[in-house]
Amino acid sequence: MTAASMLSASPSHTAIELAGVSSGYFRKAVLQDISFQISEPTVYVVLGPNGAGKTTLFRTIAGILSPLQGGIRIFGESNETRTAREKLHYLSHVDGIPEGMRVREALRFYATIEGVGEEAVGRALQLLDLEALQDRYFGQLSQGQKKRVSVARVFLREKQIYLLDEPTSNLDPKVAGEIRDLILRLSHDKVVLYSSHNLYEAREIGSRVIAIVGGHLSRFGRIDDIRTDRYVVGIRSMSPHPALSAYPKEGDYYIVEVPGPESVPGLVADLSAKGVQIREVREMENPLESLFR
Amino acid sequence: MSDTASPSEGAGLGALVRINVRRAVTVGRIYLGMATALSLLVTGLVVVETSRTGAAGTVIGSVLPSELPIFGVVGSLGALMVFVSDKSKGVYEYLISYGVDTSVISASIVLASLVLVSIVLGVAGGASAILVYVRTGAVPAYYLREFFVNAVPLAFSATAFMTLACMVWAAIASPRAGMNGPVGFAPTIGIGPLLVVLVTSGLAPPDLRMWIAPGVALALVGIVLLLIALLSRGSVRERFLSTL
Repeated sequence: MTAASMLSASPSHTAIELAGVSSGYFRKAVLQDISFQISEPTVYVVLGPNGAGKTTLFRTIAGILSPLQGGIRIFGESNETRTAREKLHYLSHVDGIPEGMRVREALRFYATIEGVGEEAVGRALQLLDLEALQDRYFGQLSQGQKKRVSVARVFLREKQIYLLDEPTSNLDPKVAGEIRDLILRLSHDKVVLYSSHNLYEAREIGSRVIAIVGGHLSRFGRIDDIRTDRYVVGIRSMSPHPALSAYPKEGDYYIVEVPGPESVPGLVADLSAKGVQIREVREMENPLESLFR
Repeated sequence: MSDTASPSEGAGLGALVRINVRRAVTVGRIYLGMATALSLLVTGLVVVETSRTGAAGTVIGSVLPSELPIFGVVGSLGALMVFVSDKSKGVYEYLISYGVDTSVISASIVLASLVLVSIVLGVAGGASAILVYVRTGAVPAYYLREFFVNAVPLAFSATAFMTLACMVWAAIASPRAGMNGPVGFAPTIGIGPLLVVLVTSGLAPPDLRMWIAPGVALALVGIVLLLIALLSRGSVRERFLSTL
């Protein structure tokens, strides 16, 4: 039995199903033998170092790349079908806005392709706070404004699956936060795959992680379940204290390695009992970094 | 977010052609204007040059239709410019994800180029027909034959061939071609079939000459349909991605 033939052949509650998928460009595989199933609507953060295959994964699920091996189903249907494609939105890291178009015109272009009307364009403009920019040429906008226009496209029409490839790159923290909030609102009843390089953002937005390293699926599961063999915190005290002298120092912080986050309250209590006046405790290393090793 | 319309209604060939025609006219307006103006200028020059001999109607009727395809090819470049620009901007990555087939994208560009040719042929053909009528008091059969049997099929087929050949070039070139390569070289590819007709017409026996232009046009249409069919293969999609 091949991996592709293991896919369910009838309408399914499984939103995305990959079975033994290898995919890449010009017959050269970037992704190798990826299999997973996604049913629960929430944010799945796709993590991996540069060149790991995150964009290739998104393009393959979106039907832009044909897998070299294996198969993909969207709610039980092959992702090659029009009905499957109608269930998903894909946001690329490239803007994809035709040259010489104004903001409103560009969204109208995609609205026509999506089969929705002017009302949807107005709503997307409002949602991304683009009304003041709607008559500006896309090429004249700043990088952040361009990204907002690009993101607005996925709000033209409601779908069940959102594949968002680095939606907050090039955005200032305020706008990035607003877009993350919109995506979090979406994820209450939608499946959102969200790729990011930013490990702190990943923990902020996602509850599940899909880690791709070297083209292979290295982790698929709950972010909270990720346990590492070390957890590093920085302790900043009001004044130097002998109880801290055993620890190495980085800037203002004494670096303490503990088994996990659950050990931090005990450490703080212990140091306080010894008379250390603690000003700040901060995580010095994100546990998600272990996924990249 | 409650729109229920199906994207298949919007993403069809008709919608894409309408959008691409509008954009091709905007992007390629200089080529379109130049081709139309040149065709009218040549018409005017022929009239001035031949008015002394009184044979203007005959000359316009027999010479001009054979030159119109060249202006058609040049006037249609806007459609190819839209393709190359959209490809480099990543527009096709989105269209494919919406379920728009690569053959539909290709066909929409080819059809848009044919609409541009129609504009050139309509203006230049109409103007020359009026001049012939003014000079001879009728639109003679030889003019109509030259126009509809030679000029129109050759202009449409050479343009479709040029557009598609350059799209394939832009898609398969490695390293990836920018806009200058395919668009800059396109007129040479488009005028190539017209030169073939010109040369073979001079060499062919007289009773075969009238079939050369329709024959070449038919062969070009066959090549265009074959290329569009090849462009519908799934493995071609990655050729439509941006290099950004």
